[in-house]
Amino acid sequence: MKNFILAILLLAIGTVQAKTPQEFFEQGNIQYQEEKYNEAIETYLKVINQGYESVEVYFNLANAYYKTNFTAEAIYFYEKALALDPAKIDVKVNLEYANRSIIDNIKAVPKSTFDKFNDLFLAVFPYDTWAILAVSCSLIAGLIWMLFFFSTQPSVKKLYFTLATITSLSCLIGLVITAQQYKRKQNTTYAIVFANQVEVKNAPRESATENFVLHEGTKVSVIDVIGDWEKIKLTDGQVGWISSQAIKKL
Amino acid sequence: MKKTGNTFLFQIINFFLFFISTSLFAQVNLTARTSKKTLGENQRFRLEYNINKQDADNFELPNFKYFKVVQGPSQSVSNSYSYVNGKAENKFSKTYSYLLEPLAKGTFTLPPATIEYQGKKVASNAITLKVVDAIDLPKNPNDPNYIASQNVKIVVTISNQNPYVGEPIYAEYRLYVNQLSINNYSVDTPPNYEGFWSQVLENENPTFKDGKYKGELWKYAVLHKVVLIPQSSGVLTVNPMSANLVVGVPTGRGDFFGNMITRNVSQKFISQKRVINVKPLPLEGKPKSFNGAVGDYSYEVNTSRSVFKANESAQVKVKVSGKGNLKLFELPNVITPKELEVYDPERKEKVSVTATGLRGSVENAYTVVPQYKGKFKVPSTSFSYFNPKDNKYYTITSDEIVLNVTEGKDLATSLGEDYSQGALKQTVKAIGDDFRYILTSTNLQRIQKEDFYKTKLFYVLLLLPLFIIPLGLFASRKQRELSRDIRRKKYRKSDKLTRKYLASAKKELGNRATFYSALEKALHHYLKAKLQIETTEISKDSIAEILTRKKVSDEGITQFIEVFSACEFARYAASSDEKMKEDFDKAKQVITELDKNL
Repeated sequence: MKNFILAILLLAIGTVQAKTPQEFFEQGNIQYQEEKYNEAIETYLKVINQGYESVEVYFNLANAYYKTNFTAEAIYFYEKALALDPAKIDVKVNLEYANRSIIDNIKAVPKSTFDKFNDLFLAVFPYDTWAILAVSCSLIAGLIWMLFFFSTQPSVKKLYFTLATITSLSCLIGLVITAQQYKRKQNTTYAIVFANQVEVKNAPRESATENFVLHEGTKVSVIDVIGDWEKIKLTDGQVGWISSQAIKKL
Repeated sequence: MKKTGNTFLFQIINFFLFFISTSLFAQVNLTARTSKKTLGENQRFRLEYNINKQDADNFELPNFKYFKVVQGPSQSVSNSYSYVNGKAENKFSKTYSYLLEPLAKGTFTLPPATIEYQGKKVASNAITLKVVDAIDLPKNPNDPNYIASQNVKIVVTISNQNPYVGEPIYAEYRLYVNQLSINNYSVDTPPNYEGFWSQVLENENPTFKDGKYKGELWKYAVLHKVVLIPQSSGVLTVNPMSANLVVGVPTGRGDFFGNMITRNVSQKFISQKRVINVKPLPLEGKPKSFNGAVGDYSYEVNTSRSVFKANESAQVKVKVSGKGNLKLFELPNVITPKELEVYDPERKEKVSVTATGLRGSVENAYTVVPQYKGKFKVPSTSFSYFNPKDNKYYTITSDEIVLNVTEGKDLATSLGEDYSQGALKQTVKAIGDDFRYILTSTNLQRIQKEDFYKTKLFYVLLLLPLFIIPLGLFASRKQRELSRDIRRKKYRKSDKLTRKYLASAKKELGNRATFYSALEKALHHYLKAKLQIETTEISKDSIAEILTRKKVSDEGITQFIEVFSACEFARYAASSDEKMKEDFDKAKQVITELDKNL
């Protein structure tokens, strides 16, 4: 009898735990549809807590946060979704909605030509994809060089030589882009202000004078860290130190 | 041992002596007393000598150098018996009193007086007096002005002498009157308060009420009521108020009908100057949002509507209610999203002034007209005040407000910012109008993705070709060398065969069939050696073509082909020895010719 109950219990626990992230995602979608946004948030968070992510789960979670008026959280997860897929139009639209309810109006300085170029061409792939491309180019180049060396006919040899040079060059270019994108990624950490209102100081001290004030939901880039203070930069170029508790890094 | 006994005896004697002496002193005592210790030069004072035993006689007043006896001596005697614990006690007191007047300024000592008691002289104590500059003397007690000044007072009562900055205090100017009538009054100098915010309370038709003045029951009327709020810390003064009063003073005589005749006296009365010590607000625990509110308040921010359409208006109200120094501080500012059109707040005050301060509510109403649809968040604000009763700061944080604009223009987005004219222009970008719904299909991935970049595999794969290429280079060289060896071998063999066949052809000169066959073989082997191609099966035209490609001179080719044709032709036709010889020479010549080119 005891064993029987235990078995049933185990079975029950088993079925509870057996929910895959995919199932949680779908459950969250149902809860969202039923306008149970708070429950949907919980469910989507379970997916992420199990160590899974996708553009859609971040997007849906952000939507649920937006519906429950948690602007900072909504913006945070929209930005996370955009980090995975910078071109997702749904995310962009809804992020725009969420950005409306924030207080700070920080004008972006015009992008430099390089930044524009970077966004248009270099940032289309994450650095890892660029790394794979570079390696493939390298391997292909190696193969073609081999063919070049072993071929005897001059015309074929010429063709191989051109191809090999092109692939070798692309391999090098790919490597440069990878390194550049990697460095860019390492150097630019974005964060969202979670505190309702927070003072940005001119030094990493509580007693330092206040540079400006930020409000919930504003996106900043983190450029340095000292202890509990993070040096941040706004899109308009202003720089200051902010308490780590006030922001959440993407 | 003996010594101890002696000491003991001595102590006992001492004790008795002490007892006797004290009892003696207690028995006859002449005490001098004055009514004032410090007096003005023009003031008089009373000097009394009190003896506590009967039968004392011959009281002698000392000789006063600097004082003049104005009145006295007058004697008074009191005698009382009491019966305590079965023992009768007689208390006797005889007082000699004098009224003295100083003759000079300075500090003087009154020498002791003496009295004789049972044949002994008893001296009084000496008294030191200080005579200072002349002061205003009270007038004749029967002077109506004097009576009026003694029996009418203006007194300031202050609810709190030691308030905090911003803590309201209440001050009343009371007119106290002792059994006199006030027939008229007019304020001469109204009170003024430096460093205070003041609000005078309405005070129509003051009436007299019973009240105590210095413990006596007098009547009082409130002339002036004011609420004062100190604006700075430190010592602040409430300057005196002066009023002209017409006081009816009874003359003590009656008229024909026996009614008291009163005389009207007009006099100026001045209240005292009051000093108020204002405490600064404690620095400890002072919240950042504190802006001077002192009292007891409640705070709220609310909106008239939270769901509406664009171009409709809503009111966001910031309201502080309670009591304290309302009106004297700013309400917290409401910060709104940039896309909301917000007008300057309309201030509404419902404040009544009471003795405990200002009471009521102050409200700022912001009219909000959204232009675009979307959700706009008005963040929570904090209001802090200091409660002087609890000596503590309190902070109230309002809830944040979400204004949901359901219909309206779509917002120009910052995605399409246009900097072309130097200034930021927002352009409407058609990125879709509505808030997008959730996406239902997904491809979940592990969050902790391993980077491929900078892994070992990445480097190995990247650098693999660099190792392979030299290897390949080497291998291809080796292979080429090998093939060249083979070719050389073949060439040598063909060369050898060419020579062999040429030699056999030479031997067979005259023998037509074998000669030409050998010659042909020699030519083929020659080509094989030179061009690494098998030419036996190839037509003459093809050979000619190959040779052209190898850039052999046309002449050489023609000769070569001629020799070939001759060989073929000779198989079927007769040929002379000369012809054979000629052909042989030609072949040799052709080979040397070709050698130059190949």
